[in-house]
Amino acid sequence: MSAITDLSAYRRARRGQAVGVVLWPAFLAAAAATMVFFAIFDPTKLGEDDSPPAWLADRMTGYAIGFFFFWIVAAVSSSLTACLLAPRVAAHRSGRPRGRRSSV
Amino acid sequence: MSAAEKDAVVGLYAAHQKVYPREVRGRFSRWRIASVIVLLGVFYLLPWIRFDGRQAVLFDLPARQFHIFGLTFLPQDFFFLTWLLVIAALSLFFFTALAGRLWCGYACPQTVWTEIFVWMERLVEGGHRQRMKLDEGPWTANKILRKSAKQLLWVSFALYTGFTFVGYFTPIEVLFAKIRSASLGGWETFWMLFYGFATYGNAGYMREQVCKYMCPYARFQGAMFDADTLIISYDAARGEPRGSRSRNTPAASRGLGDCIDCTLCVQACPTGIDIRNGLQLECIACAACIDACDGVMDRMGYPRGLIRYTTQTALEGGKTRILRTRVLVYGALLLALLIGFAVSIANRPLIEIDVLRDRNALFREVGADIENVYTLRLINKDAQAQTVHLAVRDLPGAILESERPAWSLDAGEVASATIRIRVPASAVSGGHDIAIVARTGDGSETVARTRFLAPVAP
Repeated sequence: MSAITDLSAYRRARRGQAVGVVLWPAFLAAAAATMVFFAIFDPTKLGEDDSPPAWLADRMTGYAIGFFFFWIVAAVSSSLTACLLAPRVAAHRSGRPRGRRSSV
Repeated sequence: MSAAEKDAVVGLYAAHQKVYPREVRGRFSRWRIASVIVLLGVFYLLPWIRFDGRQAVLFDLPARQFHIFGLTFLPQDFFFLTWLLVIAALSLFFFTALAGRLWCGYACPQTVWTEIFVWMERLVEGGHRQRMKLDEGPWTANKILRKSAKQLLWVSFALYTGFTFVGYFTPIEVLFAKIRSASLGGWETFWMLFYGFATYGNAGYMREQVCKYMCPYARFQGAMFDADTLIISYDAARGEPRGSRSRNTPAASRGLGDCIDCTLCVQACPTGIDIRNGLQLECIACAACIDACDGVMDRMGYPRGLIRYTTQTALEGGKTRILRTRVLVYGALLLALLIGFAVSIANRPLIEIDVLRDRNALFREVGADIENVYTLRLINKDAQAQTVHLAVRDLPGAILESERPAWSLDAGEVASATIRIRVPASAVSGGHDIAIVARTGDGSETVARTRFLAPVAP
């Protein structure tokens, strides 16, 4: 077990983890949401009067856009949670200036 | 930073060092290899199997139909999928309560694909010491050659995995033909690369970090554990005090336990932990340490099982209870859900009706009658052709007319039917709930409910 020799390497690693921790649960949530949503709604019948916008006309495009939309929404939520969770505690305890909170 | 935080930082940072698991052979690694072959075999071969003239398992998203060996599911059957997921979750609870993290060690896609990727790595770069040396060393021609060969294997396998994955959604033979003629669709290409890249990244690079930092199951599996759950544990009472000694030395004569402190269990661990420190969150119960230790015990002439599958109760000298409340409750629930699932699949209506009211007019007056027009979508979910007769119910005096007296539907066919329901004006006023019934040759019925609208009588 090595001690911390390089704080920036630690921060890089931590950031990498944060990306995984945010994107992965968002991916799971998006997969579930996509399944439920498109089981109920047919993407080609989403627009007004059953005529979807041209970019949605193909079902595969509809599914894909839906999936990425859900993923983005869930990832935004996850990353806000991540933002609100850890750094505030660290900032309080270490008494570091506010501007640097997000770095660890 | 508090002392606790510093500890946490050290732990997280240290864990980021690349793990080079030492290759082990033994009973449990044979089980895992068997499991890998069966699971990946099913994954890669299933799309190629045909049943009743079509791909046996095809999730036809463009047509919104799922085919699983002669059973056809529509979005309306989503309920079954939910049910299946509940069954899957409960099975996970049941097996976790009984035997710990069996899923992680033998069946999780992360484990299974990592196993294959590590195998390919080993094939090209050699054993764990050679791999370490290669990574530390300078970029010689040999290193470049080996690394590129590994990448070639990994990337090809990942792409083939992506291809197979998409083959569950687009008929795989069509997909194969499209690749050969370079006429692959945009989304097909995209999802192939997406899934291929995910496999490559997860199994090639992230590996145990997925289990440690990203897996929700790893965090909550502890809730299903109790003292009688099967865990992999080091028998500290037998092993300590650990220490090296020459072969065939009776341990007791030197005041030592059976652990010779060879650290093979640590080297074999794919998540880089020391099982001798007790049960840890990182442990995916792959049993590599058991295999490693058993081999050492054999060579030392000591009995096997210094590290073994056991339970907390057994380690403390008690007797492990297999049938306990938790297991019985999970088991009973699982059984009930499975039976219910099978029964409702067997009894589900094979004809599906969607009713759409005519949008142009709420009702029409035809002579002395009131008429409503509907468009029906009739879907045959059976694997055989069916003849469907339509009728109206719950509205006295109503007659149903359609362009045909009966509808013949091939297996999986979707037909559109326009029907007119007519009632004497004197018999209706305002809205009525009615039922449209589709009856098949064998007398089974599917009922769809809709509204019949008439002018409100003064």
